[in-house]
Amino acid sequence: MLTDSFTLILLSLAISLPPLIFLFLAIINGQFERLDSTAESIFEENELRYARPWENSAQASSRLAKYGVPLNNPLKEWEHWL
Amino acid sequence: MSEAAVPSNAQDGAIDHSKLKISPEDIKEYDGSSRTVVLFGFFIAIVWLLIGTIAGDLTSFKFDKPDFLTEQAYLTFGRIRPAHLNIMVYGWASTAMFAVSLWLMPRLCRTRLRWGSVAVVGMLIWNIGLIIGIVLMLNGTNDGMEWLELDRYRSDPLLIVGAALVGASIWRTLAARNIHHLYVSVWYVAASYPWFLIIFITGNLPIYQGVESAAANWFYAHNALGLWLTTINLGLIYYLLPKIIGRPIYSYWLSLVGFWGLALFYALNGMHHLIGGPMPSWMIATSITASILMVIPVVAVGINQHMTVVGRFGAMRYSPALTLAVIAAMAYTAVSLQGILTALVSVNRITHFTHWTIAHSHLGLYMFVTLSLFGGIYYILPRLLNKEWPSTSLIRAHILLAGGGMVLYVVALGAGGVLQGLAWLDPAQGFAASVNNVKPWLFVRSISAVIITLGHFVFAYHCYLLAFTTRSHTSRHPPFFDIKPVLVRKK
Repeated sequence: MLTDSFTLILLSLAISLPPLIFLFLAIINGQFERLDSTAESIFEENELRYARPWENSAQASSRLAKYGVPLNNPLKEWEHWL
Repeated sequence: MSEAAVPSNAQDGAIDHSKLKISPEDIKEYDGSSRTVVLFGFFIAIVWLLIGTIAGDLTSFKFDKPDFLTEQAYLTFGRIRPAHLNIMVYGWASTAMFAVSLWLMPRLCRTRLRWGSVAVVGMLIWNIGLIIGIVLMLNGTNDGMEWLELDRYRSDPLLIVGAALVGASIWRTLAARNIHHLYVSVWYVAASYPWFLIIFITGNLPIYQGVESAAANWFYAHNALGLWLTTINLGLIYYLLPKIIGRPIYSYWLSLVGFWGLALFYALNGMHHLIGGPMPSWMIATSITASILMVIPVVAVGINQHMTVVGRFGAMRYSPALTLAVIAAMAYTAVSLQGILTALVSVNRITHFTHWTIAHSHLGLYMFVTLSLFGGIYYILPRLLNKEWPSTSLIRAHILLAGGGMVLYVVALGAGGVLQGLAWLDPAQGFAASVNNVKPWLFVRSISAVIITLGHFVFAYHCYLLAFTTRSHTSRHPPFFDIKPVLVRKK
């Protein structure tokens, strides 16, 4: 039985050990610092200021407080429906 | 990127992302660098989607009429069923995922796509390998293990080379990035390629015998779902949800818990498919334990995605891409929790070998993976082609047919599978009773398959209209604008 399962142990280690090593490398490399700015890194300049038509007044106020005066989306995305 | 914000050392750990200003023009440049290869990938994927759907329909009809199309050997169940699975996994989903990853990486790494032509060659080689494998399969030659049916000598090497070349382009782009901190989607997408190569190569090694080959089979099949199909689509959803809604992900920390939890625990899950089989008991117990541990990353992802969208479900009225991404995200949580439950011996005792498994796999492969990819295509194609989708009606028809059809499919086969399993466990009922129990549910499955097929043809036609005609949209409102979801908060 052990013979049959030995290969599986190796396979599972081959898959699970590299992520563990990469996890430590990522920690050492500072990848888990500045999480908030990393979360915002996908947005274009001023994108978080674009008004969203589905937001209620509280959500729009929150956007105004966090990101500044709302702007119109230059791509007019919500006037169409990209 | 505005000049003032370009750091002197782009990979310096001190860079604050909020100060890196990226303009819409930069985004256009990144999209332009991947345009050809992404469009190429989507085109091939949609062709495979239609072929695979027809193969799935034929497979389903054979349960209702076992003598349907049996004169030609290549149309018999044993050949057409694995052809359906392999076409959908490697033809449709994987090729579309190549395209999605090649579009995502330049945007997330803030650089142009590198080695794009290598990726095109990779996709070509991958698809040539798949065509060879499917032809051999229909001709009666396959490797005899589920998800690994493609011929290991004439087809699989081409798939390996193909994935490696696409992966090379992904990793080269990653290496050339202009940012230091990696967004969670980058982790998911970049990790998927080495994971796929490891599991696909090891799963296809011609060294396993007997029980060991069953274990290697499920090691591969389950990891193909969790470390390939799941990862790229979660990466896509983590990009689409915040991007469309216009707010960062609820908790970036939770998203990392989700990724690393999957990376560390998922690999051991596959053996729960062999509960009751002639395997060492410790192996099954380990797999069940690892499956239960998956609750942590699954719940982390589920909570995170829900909290990102909550209070803003009304945005789904404006964006079909968001509608599909939200449904796909919900399906991911549902299928993962369902999978964890199915790994429990008491549940597995009823569901094992029944049609429940097929319902479960379609909840994952369709409601999660395919709807996520549809969402990605709805978002990406107009941006690459610089024009809107021509018809709101066609989008509405596609989403309702595909989504509604698959709900019917999963409910019907899930219920039928449980009844089938209960009949098997009841000594008072013969095997014929279990067959009779499940027949009406199989018929409903065939009806749902036809509905889904219509949805796919509508989608393909709409893609054709978008890409190859100059028809412009005339509707004033998005496809689901008039539907007020119950989850929209009153203003």
